[in-house]
Amino acid sequence: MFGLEFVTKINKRISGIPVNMRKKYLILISSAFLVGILITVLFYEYVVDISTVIRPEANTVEKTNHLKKPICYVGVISRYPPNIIFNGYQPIIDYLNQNEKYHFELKLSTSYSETVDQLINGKISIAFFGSLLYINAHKQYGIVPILKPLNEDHKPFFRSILFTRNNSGINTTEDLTGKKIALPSQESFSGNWLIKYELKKIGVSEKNLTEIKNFPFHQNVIFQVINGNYDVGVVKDKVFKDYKNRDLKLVAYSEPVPGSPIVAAKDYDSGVIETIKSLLLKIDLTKPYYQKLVKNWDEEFIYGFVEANDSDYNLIRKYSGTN
Amino acid sequence: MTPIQHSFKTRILLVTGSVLILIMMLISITILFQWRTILIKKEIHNAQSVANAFVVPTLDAMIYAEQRELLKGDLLETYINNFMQKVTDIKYIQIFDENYNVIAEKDAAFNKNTDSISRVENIREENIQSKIYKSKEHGWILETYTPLVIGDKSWGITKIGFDAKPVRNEVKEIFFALLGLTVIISLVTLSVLYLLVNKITYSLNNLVKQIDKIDFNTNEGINLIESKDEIGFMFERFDDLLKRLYKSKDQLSIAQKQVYQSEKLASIGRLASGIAHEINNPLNGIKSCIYAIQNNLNNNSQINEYLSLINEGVTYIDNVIKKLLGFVRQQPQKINLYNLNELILNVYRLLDYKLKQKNADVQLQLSEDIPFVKVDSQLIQEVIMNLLINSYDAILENGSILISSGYYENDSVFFSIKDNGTGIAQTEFEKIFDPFYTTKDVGKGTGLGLWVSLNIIENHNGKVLVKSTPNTETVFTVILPIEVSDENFIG
Repeated sequence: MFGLEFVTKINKRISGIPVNMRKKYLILISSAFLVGILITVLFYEYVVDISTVIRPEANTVEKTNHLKKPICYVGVISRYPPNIIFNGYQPIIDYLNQNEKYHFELKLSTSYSETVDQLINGKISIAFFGSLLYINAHKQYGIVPILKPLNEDHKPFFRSILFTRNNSGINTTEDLTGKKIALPSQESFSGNWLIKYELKKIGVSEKNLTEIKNFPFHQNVIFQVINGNYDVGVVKDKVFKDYKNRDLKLVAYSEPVPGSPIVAAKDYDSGVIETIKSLLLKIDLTKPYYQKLVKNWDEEFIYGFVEANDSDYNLIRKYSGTN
Repeated sequence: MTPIQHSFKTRILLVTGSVLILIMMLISITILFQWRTILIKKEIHNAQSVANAFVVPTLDAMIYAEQRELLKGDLLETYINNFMQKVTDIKYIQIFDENYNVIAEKDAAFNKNTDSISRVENIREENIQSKIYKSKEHGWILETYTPLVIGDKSWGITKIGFDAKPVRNEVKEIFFALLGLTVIISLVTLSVLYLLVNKITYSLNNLVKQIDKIDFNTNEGINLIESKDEIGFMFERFDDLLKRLYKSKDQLSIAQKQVYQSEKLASIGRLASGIAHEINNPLNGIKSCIYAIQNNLNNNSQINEYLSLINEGVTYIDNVIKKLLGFVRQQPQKINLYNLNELILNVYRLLDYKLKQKNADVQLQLSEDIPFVKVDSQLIQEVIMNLLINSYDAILENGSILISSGYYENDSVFFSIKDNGTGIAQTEFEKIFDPFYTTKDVGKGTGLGLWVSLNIIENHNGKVLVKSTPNTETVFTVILPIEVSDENFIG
């Protein structure tokens, strides 16, 4: 009954409007309604079509300039996992590629000795070496140092760090008797300093230790100690710096020793070496351009380089007992 | 009453409703597009994050394989299989080397690693980071292209296709939610608007009804709805206006009466010489009788005869005075049924002597069967007087005047006064009913006679027709309806 009353009311209201006007309104409202539905349907189709294309901010079209330049490979000893090497060293290579003469590319190896082989066989033009590896390779193959990196004090040295967990109870080297020790490659300074020099000084020999094990990368040493598999470990100072907040403490450290050199075979191509030297020696960290440039470099090289001489590494020879 | 062609209510509803719906639509569309953009961006961002997460181990695997000189494809397909098992939104993954050759891929639609070589596309030229499109095989797809690079060194690129149907469904849901919201809000607002406008138009309709009920004869106020808003304020002002109108109408009525009376007195002034003569004649007779009685006081029979003559003379004078007073006196308004012929004769008798002064040939052709008309006799006599005096003034010596009456069509009666006087010039026709317009000499006319007459006749719902040929004849015809509503009189 409500419906009927309602319709009657509506009819009464409509009846107040003249018939011709009523028709006009009816046509107008119906047309608006139909147009509204049509627009809604079209608009719906438009809205649910979510097709989109997003292009990168910088065009990543391949740079082809290098195809015109001779390729020179740069070796890196396998002191870190390959991805870490690429992350830290590729930006240096990108910087070196700003030259007009040569195109440099990284060439990794699976061991320190493979890098030496690559250098001798001419597969690589230069290599990022370890200090101990250098004095051995120099003695054996006449490999020459080109540049050595500066540390944060702008000195061309680094230290090896003996470290342990905060709760290990080890405070000095004298506490190492009966402990398990993790070391990096036997071919590195850090892999030799503790056993061959520091422990020797206090009369502790390998027999007094439960276990000594060398791992391929410095990071392996860090994690072996963090995980409690080993009591102490030795790594380069810059690696320890990266992980010291992981509940680790410093136990002892070496004297400053010459930094890991960039080396070349004795019959090196002077053009390549001069190009590399000129680019790396002109790094001036007082300038914002270079501050920004070195941001993504391996931390060992962010303070720049100085020229290296063979005699700089005599201290290493002393530690390792090599002549 | 004229029907409303452009309803105030309809216009408000149409205009305001359209504007409102338009604004609602604009707001909804803006929200929809913003929301849609946010959803798509978020989805692309998520896809790129997943792609970046995939790229890290992929890149490590590629470097590792390169270092160890292993076959990259086998290693990468293992990665792809594991990754797609964990991220189920992914429809397919393709890994290209630095020369854009596919080195590993898997497509969930085929549930196997497909032959990829045939689908090396124009990635290099397209330079795309992400895209959403509808593919034939997978439907709506969000495709990401993530380069496998460190610095300037490139190992290739990964292409990952994510299912974009969920985000499209979300856009659909937002669309329908906003559409529903827009419709509901528009309907609610229109309903509220309709009720408000209805309230306003109801008040206005009430005002119109009350205006229709206004009776100027009773001077009664109107009953308007009390309201404290603008409508109430308008009603209040309208009520004030009505009161001022009543007051003005009363003042106008008084002024009109005064004008009528003045005009009447002016007419009497012009009749004065004739009246004086009419009174003077019997007075001389009375004087002679008194003189004869004084000279012969003992002759009773003569005294009786003279006294009867004196009485006759006094009665005559009394009649003249009564006629004059009857015309001049301001009597209360008397609307009644009158015989038009009697009213004509009353005036004619009053003017009889004056007409004789010009030796006018006055003829009466009064139809005897005309019905009584409901008029104010005083006012109608004033009209007859004005028209007859005008004819008298217009004719020359020995001129002729014809007074006639009769039916006019079936619902009216007329009387007309025709003379053969000077007539009215064509140029003056439109002015003769204007107040204070006269062609007579100074002191002979006020210029109000015809204006007053026209007003009187129009108040009786009648008409005055004039027809004139200069120096030949002029006819004034007054038409009065047989039935006249009382409310038309000003009195």
